[in-house]
Amino acid sequence: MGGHAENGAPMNRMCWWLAHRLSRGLESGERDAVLGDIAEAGEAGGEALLDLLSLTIRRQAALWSTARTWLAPAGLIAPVGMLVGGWSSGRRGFNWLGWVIGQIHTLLSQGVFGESGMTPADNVVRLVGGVFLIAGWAVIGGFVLGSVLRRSAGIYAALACVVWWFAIVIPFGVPVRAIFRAPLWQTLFWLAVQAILIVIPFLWGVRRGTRVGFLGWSQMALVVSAMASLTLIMQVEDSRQTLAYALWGNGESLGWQMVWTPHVLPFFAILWEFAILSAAKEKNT
Amino acid sequence: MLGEFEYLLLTAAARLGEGAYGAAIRQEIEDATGRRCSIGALYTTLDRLETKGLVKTWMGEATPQRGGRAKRMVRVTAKGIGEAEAFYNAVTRVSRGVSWGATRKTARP
Repeated sequence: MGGHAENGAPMNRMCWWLAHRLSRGLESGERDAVLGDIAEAGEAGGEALLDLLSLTIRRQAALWSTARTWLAPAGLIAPVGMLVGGWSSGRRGFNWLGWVIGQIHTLLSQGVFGESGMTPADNVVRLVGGVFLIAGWAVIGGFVLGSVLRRSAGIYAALACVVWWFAIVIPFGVPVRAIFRAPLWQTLFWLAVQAILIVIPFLWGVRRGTRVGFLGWSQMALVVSAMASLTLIMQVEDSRQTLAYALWGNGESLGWQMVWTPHVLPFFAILWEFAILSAAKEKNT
Repeated sequence: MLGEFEYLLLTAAARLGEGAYGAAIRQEIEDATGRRCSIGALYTTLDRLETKGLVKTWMGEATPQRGGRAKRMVRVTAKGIGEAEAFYNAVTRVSRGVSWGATRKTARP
């Protein structure tokens, strides 16, 4: 019949490779059934691929006719707000990218002001904590997107990366002049920080979300607790550092004072992600 | 009322009975119509029929000639049988008294 191998070159390894790539846009059960049908019918390579492409496009188009696909970016609002809000507005409390850059700068160039009562260990704790917090937000954003959307998550992930680089990273670049003098190194350093802390964790999160689907309640509680605790620790550290330098400027030392200027927005953001994951999970069960 | 392709699919699945699954239904339709049946058309129609409750599908066993991949098995439901019968009766009624062979001879080009 029309599509069988006598009407064209049979499926070769290249065709199968392409078929597997194309079929990623299908649900796993349907993918199995369709690829099995192609194998069983001995389809001609070109026609089988066109068939598969047409089915994938139909399925993707059907996905975009659901409200869920259009509402899914709501899952990105909180992480993007957390990652961008601080450094574009200059507000303290969740400006973690500027914070990490600052810690690197302190450790690499000027050293720690021992007279202020802060130690290199404090800087290392803040650096590691800031890195985990940023990467954690990127992973959560990606996971929520992948979990809610599954098959159309790839399109959003690609779009999010493009918007991230061209609409956010370039216009709002944090000055790194204190670390590198040459503009080329400044740019490369900034891009590397973005890639390592945000883009790669985000894409990993999307991949995990697509594969894992939905977290159990206990796993969700664990993630929320971990992010909330880390946020709290970093806010305490941020407040301690601010006060230490303020006191040091007046000739005083912080000692071991524990201070915390609360910023509640990050905690609401964590709850927002939790609410979206829970709503999507409830709808799917 | 069913569409033409929906009727073809239901009829092919009913004829195949226990052995109704994607590739077999496709082959049946192609043999009957002499036209190619695309995988996209088959599976989207199958989904539509399932949503309407006219067929039930489930994943069946895997076979070596399918590269170890599972089949999507199909069974026509009672509602599907009713709809197909209604479509068939409508086509039979509307065709009554029409002889396509005779009509062709008198038709203008």
